[in-house]
Amino acid sequence: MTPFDVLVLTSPLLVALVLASGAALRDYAEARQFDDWWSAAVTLPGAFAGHVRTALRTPRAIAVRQRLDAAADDAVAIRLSVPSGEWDAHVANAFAADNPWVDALLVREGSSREANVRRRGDTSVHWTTPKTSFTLRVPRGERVRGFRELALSGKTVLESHLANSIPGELGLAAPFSALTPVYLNERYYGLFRAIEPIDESFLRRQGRMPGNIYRADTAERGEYFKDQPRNVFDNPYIWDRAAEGTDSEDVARIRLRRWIEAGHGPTLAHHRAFMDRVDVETAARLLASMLVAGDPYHMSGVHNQFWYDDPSSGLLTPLPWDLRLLDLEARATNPLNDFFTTALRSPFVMDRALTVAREAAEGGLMERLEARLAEATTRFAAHLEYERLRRELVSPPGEPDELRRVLRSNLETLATWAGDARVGFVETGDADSRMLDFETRGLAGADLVGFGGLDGTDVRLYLDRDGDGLRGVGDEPVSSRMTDGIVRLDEPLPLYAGWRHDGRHFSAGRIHYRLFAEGVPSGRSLRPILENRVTGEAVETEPIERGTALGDGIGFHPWEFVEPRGRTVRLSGEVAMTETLRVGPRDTLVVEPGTRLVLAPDVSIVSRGLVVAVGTPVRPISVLPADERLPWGTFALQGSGASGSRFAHTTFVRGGGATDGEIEYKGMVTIHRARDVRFSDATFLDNLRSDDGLNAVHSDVHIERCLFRNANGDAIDYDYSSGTIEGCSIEDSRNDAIDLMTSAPLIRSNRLLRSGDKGISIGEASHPAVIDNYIADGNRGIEIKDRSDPVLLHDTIERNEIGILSNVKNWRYAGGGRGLLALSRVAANQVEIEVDGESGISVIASPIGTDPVPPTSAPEWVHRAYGLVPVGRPGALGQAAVWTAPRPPQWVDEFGDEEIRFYEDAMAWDRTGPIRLREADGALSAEVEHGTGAWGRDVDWDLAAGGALVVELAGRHVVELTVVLAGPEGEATRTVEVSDEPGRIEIATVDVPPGRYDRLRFELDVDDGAVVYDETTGLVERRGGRVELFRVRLFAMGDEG
Amino acid sequence: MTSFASLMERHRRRVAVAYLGVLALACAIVVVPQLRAAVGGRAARLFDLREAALLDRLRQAESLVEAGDNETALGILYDLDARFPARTNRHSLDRERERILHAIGAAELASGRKGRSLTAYRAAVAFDPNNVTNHVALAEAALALAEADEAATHFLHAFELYPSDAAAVRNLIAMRHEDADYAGVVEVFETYLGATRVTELALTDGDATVGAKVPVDGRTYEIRFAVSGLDRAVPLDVFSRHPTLEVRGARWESAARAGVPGRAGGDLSITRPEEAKRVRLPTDAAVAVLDVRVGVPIDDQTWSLVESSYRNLLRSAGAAEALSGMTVVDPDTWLSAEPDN
Repeated sequence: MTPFDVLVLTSPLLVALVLASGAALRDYAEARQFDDWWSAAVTLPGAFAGHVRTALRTPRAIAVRQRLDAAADDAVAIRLSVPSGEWDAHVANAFAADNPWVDALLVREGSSREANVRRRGDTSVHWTTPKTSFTLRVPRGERVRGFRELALSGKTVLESHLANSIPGELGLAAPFSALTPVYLNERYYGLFRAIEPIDESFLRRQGRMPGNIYRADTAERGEYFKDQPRNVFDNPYIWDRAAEGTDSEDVARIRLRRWIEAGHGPTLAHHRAFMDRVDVETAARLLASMLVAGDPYHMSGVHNQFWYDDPSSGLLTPLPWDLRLLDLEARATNPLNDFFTTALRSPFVMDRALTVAREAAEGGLMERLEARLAEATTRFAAHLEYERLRRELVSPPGEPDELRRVLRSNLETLATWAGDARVGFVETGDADSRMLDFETRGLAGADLVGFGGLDGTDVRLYLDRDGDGLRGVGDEPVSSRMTDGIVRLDEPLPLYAGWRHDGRHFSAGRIHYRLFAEGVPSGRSLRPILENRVTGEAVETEPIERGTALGDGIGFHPWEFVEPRGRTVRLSGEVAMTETLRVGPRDTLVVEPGTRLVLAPDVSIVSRGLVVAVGTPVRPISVLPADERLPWGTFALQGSGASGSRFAHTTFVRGGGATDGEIEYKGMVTIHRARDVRFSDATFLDNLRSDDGLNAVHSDVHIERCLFRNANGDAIDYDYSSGTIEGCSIEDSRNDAIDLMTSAPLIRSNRLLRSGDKGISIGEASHPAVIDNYIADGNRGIEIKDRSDPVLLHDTIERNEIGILSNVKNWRYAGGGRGLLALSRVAANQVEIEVDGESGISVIASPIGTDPVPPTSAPEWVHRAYGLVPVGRPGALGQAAVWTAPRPPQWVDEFGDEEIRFYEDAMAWDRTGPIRLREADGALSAEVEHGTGAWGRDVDWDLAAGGALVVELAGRHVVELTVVLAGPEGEATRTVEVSDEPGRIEIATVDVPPGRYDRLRFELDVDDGAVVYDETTGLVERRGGRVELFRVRLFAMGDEG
Repeated sequence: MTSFASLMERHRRRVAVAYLGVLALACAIVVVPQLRAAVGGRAARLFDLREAALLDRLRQAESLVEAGDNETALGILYDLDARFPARTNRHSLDRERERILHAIGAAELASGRKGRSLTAYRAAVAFDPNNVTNHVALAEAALALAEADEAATHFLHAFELYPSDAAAVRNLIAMRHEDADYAGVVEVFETYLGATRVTELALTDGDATVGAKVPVDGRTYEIRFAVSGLDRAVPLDVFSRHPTLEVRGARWESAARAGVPGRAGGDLSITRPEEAKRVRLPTDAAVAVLDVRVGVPIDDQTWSLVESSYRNLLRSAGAAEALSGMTVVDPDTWLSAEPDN
């Protein structure tokens, strides 16, 4: 054997060693460029061993990879085509100084569309592994999996996905998270976690008013601001905005600074100012989520801070971001951030968090998380196996058994904490006056329910509210009554637990509570009855030795937080107001009939409590300006305390909107977050400066028989609101008579005249019922925008510049308007109906322009659905006179409306034949290249009196579409004519005879000869046929409907 | 070639054995963790040594600049700049690269090469525009080189990034005053005065330390420190890195005691932090209450410019009001009042 033979024989080993050594040196050299947690863990021997092990696993990895089909037509994966040079130079290059967007194509089964990608992440784990994290973006107006932009992170994908699912489970507005395999240039690239970015689109998807989202995410090199304080709760200058409200940059910064500065103050007043700005319920839910995840630390004092400033409540809401899954009892890796440190100075947030966590655990949180984990590990079994085979080179995804164990352990820890309601008690004093000292010593608080041991004797109880330890005038009586020999408090007295955090661990504090009891018979002892505030279990007290020091003196005592008692404010006669009147949440404002409120310029009435302003036709109420030239502010109802407020025969004149505290009120009359508010026979005139005559935000408002005239902008503006607008006259609005954003009121029997812009503007995913309105002489009668979907029934729209316009306005909704126009007249407008390329409208039995009245009547379901009983010929054009309860459809299937479905088999629909089935942009799209195809789904319908199956669809190059509803007793079918006309949405009604049905099917036959001319290439291309199914509804007839 | 071939031919057995030996050693390094760690550790040391050499050279160059040997220093610094690994501010040696650029700027400035000096400082700003010190360094160099516009621009950048930056505030006020822009002086001063800043205060009661935050705004705050659990009367000590801390009063309170009405308490007679050590908290103390004030620092010269600006704007009352929130200190003390990073 020659040396050459030896060399040849051993060359594979030699090559492997050389390659592994080279790769390890490269990895180590790269890692040394950074000094974060990931790179710090990289060692040269470790990198070498990792490469050797990975090399040894290569045959298995190849086998696994072959199971991952790069060309499969599924909705699970993201398939990208990016020029390799561009990817390597800009995206997968950890050292590139810039970070440009790189052109890419999103590929799926032969078709592709434009996208951009760029590097993302803040630490080297995102850049230095063979699985670079990146951001994917599609052009404005388009979506990928329901979003314009997705962050794709390669870091601990399974663990992070599970941890970041917890906030959503606990009812928080949390960014969307899903696992998705990524294929790059037809090769499997890795399993990623797709994360929705936090921005204005996130707020809209969560049903929140657009507003500021303050962001502080400056932990890592390249991001933090050198030579400034790094703690983001110390330094407001390093925050920016992830979403911008209407405030200027300066105003937004001042709002943030005020809050942060309040957090710096050492006094109770500062603490209250700081916490009063926070949505405490959300903060408690976030803390509960963090405790379940075992990670109250990673949303730290230097990064991962996102705070939404809700313009309708003036409250800051923390948004969850980048939780890890850790053992809750392990030593903290970061200190608790300053927000939670400050929050723990009073016991309320932690008390609530513990309850939320327990409720979630009892509500099956663990089971749901386990199911999510099992679903992910099953679906992505091969992908996870591949990640494990290269686990030394990429961020490990997380092992299901370990993740399950950690979650279980955290929930057990929380259950232990919840059960730890230790309370010490000692009673001292003489027969006349007893001193009752309690001390909470555990992690859970207790409710003092009453006292036993009195044998029928009633006693008087007082709280040592002023904390001086002495019975005095500052002490508050406690209402109680004797029942069954027990003194029961009218309301349980919460004895909160104190919580401490020493920088590494949570621990129980001690809070002292002193009560005084009078009238206790000599020789009797009081026996407190206590219940655990979290679990409701009885709590036995522990004895306290007389003279023992009580309480640890840390934080604010809960009794220092005094809420004022409710009062009633009555206004009557002529009232000149020169200062803003603020009514508290426990107060009631009564405005007597005949009252004239004369408000000085910019003076407002802001009520957080109930308002009753009910005038009469003879003695109306007026809200008037003191100076005709200058507006007063706003009449605002703020919060749930104002729910149920009533206004009748009240006139509002020349209000101008206002900002009060942190809240902007943009209506002369403004309702924020209140339910069941009613305005009857009210008049709204000549509002100035502000946009709206009446503005409802996150509210339920009913407006009946009201007059609106000369609104400065919109007369009525509903944002995320519901209710009714009925029998009103709205005239000469400078902009819209009625403006809707993500709202669904019933708009009925109104006259909307001479609007400067729209009679009704239906925008941003609004779904109102617009029935029996007369809209005339305006710019546009009705405009339907941005995934709004109204029903327009029995309306008359005439003499406007455009009768109905259906279009796209806001790109964030990635779609136009749709609507149903039935039994309505659109006539004598300069343009009767205009529809852009991304919108549509369905017309039933409605004459348009000079069309004669259609001979066909509307199907019965139209009236049943909206609570109409037509008079005269059923379903004919004309005004319906009888209203009844609406009968909504028994069954509805809608597609992709803010519903993000990554997983195709989550769709209930299946297909037969060469048909491509996609759910996107609010429709189920079925496409056939040539010939026929079918798709359908199983149903379980038992229709004793028959029903109507209503299908809304559009299409192109369709020869025939047949809708088949099949069951054991027979079939109901209907052939639908699908027009190629753009913007036209067909509504097909299938009359369903009585019987049972188990399968709904669509059979599509397309035009094989359809071609299109491509102006760019000059080529004629074949074009398949397509049907877009927007909605399928089943209305049962007879009484059951 | 022939001789090598014949040599190989002659010793082919030995060559093969030697080669196999080396290969076996390499395999042993792969297989035996201890060997792998030892060899890998040694190789990693080479990286450490290279990095250490670079940093040694940087320190050497900085010393040379300080000593006035700018030409020698620049030779080293330009060489370092060309091959220094930190090309972006995400790099672990980002601050060191900024040091190189600042040292080049300083050396070139001292050598009278204005353009080169500014180029180096501008490179530092471009390298990390979020570093307030980079802007201040460029602005100070520009000021020294009579590039007033560039100086004003970068002092203003620094001030906008962090309105408590003493150098930026001091220079902006001086420059605007020189331009008779009194309104501009007052604008900068009032932004500085109203800026958000906080300092940590620590109270030690013998063994344990408790901390609290205090706004640096010249107002007096009552701060309560829980100190319960004392087994003896202990001296009290109050710490703050901030030089303008004043303790204006102190008291103690006892804890509530089971079955005992009321609470005890008393005055501690402290008015300055250094007096705290002279007083003792009684064993019964559960809470120490301090009245503290941390003034907004400013130096005498800058304050006189601010005061005269107010006067020139006929707003002397504004100056008097502002003074209540300030503590006038010497310039070095003002600089030392910079917060922790």
